[in-house]
Amino acid sequence: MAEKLLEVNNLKKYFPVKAGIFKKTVAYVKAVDDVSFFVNKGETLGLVGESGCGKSTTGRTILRLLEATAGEVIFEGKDVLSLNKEDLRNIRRDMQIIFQDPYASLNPRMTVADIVGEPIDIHNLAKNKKERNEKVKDILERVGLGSEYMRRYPHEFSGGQRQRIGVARALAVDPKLIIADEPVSALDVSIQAQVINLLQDLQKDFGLTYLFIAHDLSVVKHISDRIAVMYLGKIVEMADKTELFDDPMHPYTQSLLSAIPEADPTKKKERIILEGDVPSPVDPPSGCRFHPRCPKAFDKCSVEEPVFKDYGDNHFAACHLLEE
Amino acid sequence: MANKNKEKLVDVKNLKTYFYTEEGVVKAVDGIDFEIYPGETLGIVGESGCGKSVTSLSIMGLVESPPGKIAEGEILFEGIDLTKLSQAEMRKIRGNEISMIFQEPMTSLNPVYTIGDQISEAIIIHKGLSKKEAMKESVEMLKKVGIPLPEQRINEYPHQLSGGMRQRVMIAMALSCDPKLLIADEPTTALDVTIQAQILELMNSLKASYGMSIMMITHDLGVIAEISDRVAVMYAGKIVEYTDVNTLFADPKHPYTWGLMNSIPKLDRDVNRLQAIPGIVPNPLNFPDGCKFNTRCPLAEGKCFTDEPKIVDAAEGHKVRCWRYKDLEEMKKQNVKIYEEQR
Ligand SMILES: Nc1ncnc2c1ncn2[C@@H]1O[C@H](COP(=O)(O)OP(=O)(O)OP(=O)(O)O)[C@@H](O)[C@H]1O
Ligand SMILES: Nc1ncnc2c1ncn2[C@@H]1O[C@H](COP(=O)(O)OP(=O)(O)O)[C@@H](O)[C@H]1O
Ligand code: SF4
Ligand SMILES: [Mg+2]
Ligand SMILES: [Mg+2]
Repeated sequence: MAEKLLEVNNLKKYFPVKAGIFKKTVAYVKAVDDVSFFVNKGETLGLVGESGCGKSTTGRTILRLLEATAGEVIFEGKDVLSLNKEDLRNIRRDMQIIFQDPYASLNPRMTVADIVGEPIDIHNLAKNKKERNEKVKDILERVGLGSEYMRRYPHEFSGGQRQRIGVARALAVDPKLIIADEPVSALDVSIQAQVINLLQDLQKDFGLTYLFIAHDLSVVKHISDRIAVMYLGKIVEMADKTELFDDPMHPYTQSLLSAIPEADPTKKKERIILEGDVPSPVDPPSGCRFHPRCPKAFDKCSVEEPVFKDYGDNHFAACHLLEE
Repeated sequence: MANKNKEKLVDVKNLKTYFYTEEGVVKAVDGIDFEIYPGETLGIVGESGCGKSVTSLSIMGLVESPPGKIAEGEILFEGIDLTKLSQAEMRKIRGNEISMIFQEPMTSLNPVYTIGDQISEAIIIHKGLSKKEAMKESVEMLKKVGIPLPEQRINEYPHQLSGGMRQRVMIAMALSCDPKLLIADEPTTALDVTIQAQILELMNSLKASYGMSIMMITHDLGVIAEISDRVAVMYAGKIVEYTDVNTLFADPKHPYTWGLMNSIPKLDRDVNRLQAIPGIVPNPLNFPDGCKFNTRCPLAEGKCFTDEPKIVDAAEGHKVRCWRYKDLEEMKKQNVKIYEEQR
């Protein structure tokens, strides 16, 4: 039986919308609204969904870069959301994040050695400067950057190289979990493949666990063991990746999968084209949030919210159609 | 193909567009040849910086000058060389005969005018209708591109629309003057997959009903497969492979094309490791001698480092720019993985 490294229960993150001269809170952006999932030790869970559905917010709330509105985050048995500052700092060693934008996420005034070395300093992982630089050198080599780059600044690197620096920084403290928030989305296809291969090699070598956030379903399918699909602040389906692609249960997953353009002109896909746009998370639709766009919606869908439950073999989904 | 007997709508010959910068000459587009036939979609695919946008701006006569300049070549549109036209003459062609849509519609829509004002302005200029008639026509156009409640939408401003809707508005504007050629530069790159699917479907159906030609620029091989009839693959300012879409995907003959296709994960086939193309695109100010792909090509040898290969007919209707495409052919037959699974 697989061992859970991370467990997220009923997590909510609401951002207040303020208006008027007194900056009164008039509404909430329900960015993450009652999300539950787990990540097993050594596996990769892919988190997919369209722009604004709450993927990054989920990742950031888990790490407490944002404070949760409600819910539970259990990491190795510890309740992350109730940790004090000191314990939080310690646990952050085990949970690291890689960001989407390799241009914006690195401090332009720091050398590569300092960018990668900073977390080592924060967590006092080196006895002296020499040992720290040795560590940095090792890690840089591990991600395919020679030590000759240590004194250079981020702007001197290409997008793919910058992303390697971001990966090196995350690895520097020897974490157990890495939350990778769209780590290859900003890269050219040929460079994407290099970084994906690197992440997979590192996972094997260091026994890492990944929460891999992305919107590119082909990439997610390649790298993940299991996949969770988000829509408007909720996870609507979660399953083993093969299961999810072969037998998607939720109508949103079905249309999402059918929308992927495949690099094969002989394949003429049967598309389920969704009408309209994703509604606003400030005032999400009643009942099932997908109902205004769902090609299979029926009366119950606009009234009652479907429950997210296990339909066997850890294949979770939330849809009234499944409850017969 | 039936194309043979058709007149070419666009015929680009040896186009060179250079930027004369302080650091040196950027040969953004360096001698490309291609043609577009009436009613077809030509896909142009390549990684960022390879010259896709500069190619389309060159056709539109919108290359920033200085520092940019069409240094050589011809762009024949219905037999007329666009590079020889005056600004005023070009303005007439733009938006009338040739329209363009961009990756980020927000930057090409004016934030202070309503959607209706912007579409109707295009219609007034190009069709000479009255303001009232043009507004009516705008509503019709918005309907055609699938915008719900168009009577209401014409009174809204760009920021009130979602990305997908803005792109639809751009398409409506581009089509409002019945262009013969629509240039679409990464029109779906900023959009989500479900919205991308909507827009691609829209473009395909509009192409069928308007009978126009499309030049589709993208870095996404999935989009290329979806929408193109023929494809030009660009690398470092040159076309390295050029053929019809089915042939390209079934039988890529250039090591770069082959590499690109193997570096993307496939939905129907699981592999443990992707075959990545090593290295990075060379700096345009400092291209290597010989073949520009030689810094990353696993087949590169001797001649590749000294002489630039010409683009040649490897088969009927299939052009390739590589000294060793025949060797690649052999290797493909023997199932050799030319991009090693390096670590
Ligand atoms: N600091 C904030 N204040 C208010 N609203 C926010 C804030 N951060 C995010 N949101 C909103 O929360 C929702 C979820 O945002 P989030 O960034 O998590 O989406 P995402 O799934 O990561 O999208 P993308 O694919 O575009 O990165 C969005 O509606 C967003 O506008
Ligand atoms: N205004 C400009 N000044 C200088 N160089 C430019 C300018 N516009 C584009 N370039 C250069 O031309 C090359 C091709 O650019 P572009 O056509 O935009 O690439 P893409 O294929 O990504 O669309 C790049 O090296 C780019 O840096
Ligand atoms: S010419 Fe040589 S270097 Fe260029 S693509 Fe062909 S084999 Fe590779
Ligand atoms: Mg995000
Ligand atoms: Mg471009």
